[in-house]
Amino acid sequence: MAIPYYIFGIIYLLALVVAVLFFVFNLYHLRRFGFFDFTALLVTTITGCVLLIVNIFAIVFLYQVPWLESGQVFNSLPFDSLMDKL
Amino acid sequence: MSNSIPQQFPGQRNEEHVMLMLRRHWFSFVPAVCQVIALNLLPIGVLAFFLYGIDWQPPTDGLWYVVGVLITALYYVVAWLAFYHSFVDYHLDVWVLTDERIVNIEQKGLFDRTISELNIAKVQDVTSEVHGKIQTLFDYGNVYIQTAAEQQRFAFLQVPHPEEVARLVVRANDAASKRESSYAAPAAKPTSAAPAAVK
Repeated sequence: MAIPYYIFGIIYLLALVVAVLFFVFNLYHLRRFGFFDFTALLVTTITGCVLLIVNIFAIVFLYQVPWLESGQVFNSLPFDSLMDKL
Repeated sequence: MSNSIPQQFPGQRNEEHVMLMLRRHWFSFVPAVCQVIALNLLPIGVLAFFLYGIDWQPPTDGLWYVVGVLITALYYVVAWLAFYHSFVDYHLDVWVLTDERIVNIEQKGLFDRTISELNIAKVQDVTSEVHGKIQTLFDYGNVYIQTAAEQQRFAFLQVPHPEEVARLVVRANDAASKRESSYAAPAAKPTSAAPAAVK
């Protein structure tokens, strides 16, 4: 059975949109209720940077993937060799 | 309007002075920090176990490589968003002591916020408590305020320097009570001058 790689990309992007919305909602609450001091700014910046770095790493690791092609699900199962090792 | 005090919390009245703005002690946020650190280290530990513990190489291409990278990225995104949400919840829980009232602002989740306030002159009894070695070491604990209002007990939970907070509340209550009695006193005195304006 073969699944196109881009399906997983789309699922990931959808999850990322939800994640960004959640981040924005939290940020909105901090700003809206008037307690956006230095600590809030620092934590928001750190969290935003980490989320950005995580996604940059994901892009770097997946840059060479042929997204329009399909990958085999069962022929390339890595778990058989893992079970042998365990 | 030009003499009004800059607003330090939502709902602050004109000419209302903020005496104290409190959040839970930073130590109460340490579990969330430890949790995010542990969650960040977990995939690294698992990978190290696979590579060096059982000598198993994860796939470096193909469908399972893509799935593995995306799941790992999503895992980190979720872990850090959970941490950020914990911080927002911690940061938006505030107790404010002003010269007129005590305000308790409590954020529960993203869309649930409770604000309670109490007239400072209605305070009847203030108790501070510090329990255990950690609270004693870092000087934080709870302050309970007994009132004559509908909500009979206000609580400041895990706040720093609870004894000083209790003293400040008592002092603010004394000042407010004196102010209220000085407003009431002139109305009680009869005068021989022109009658006071009637409301």
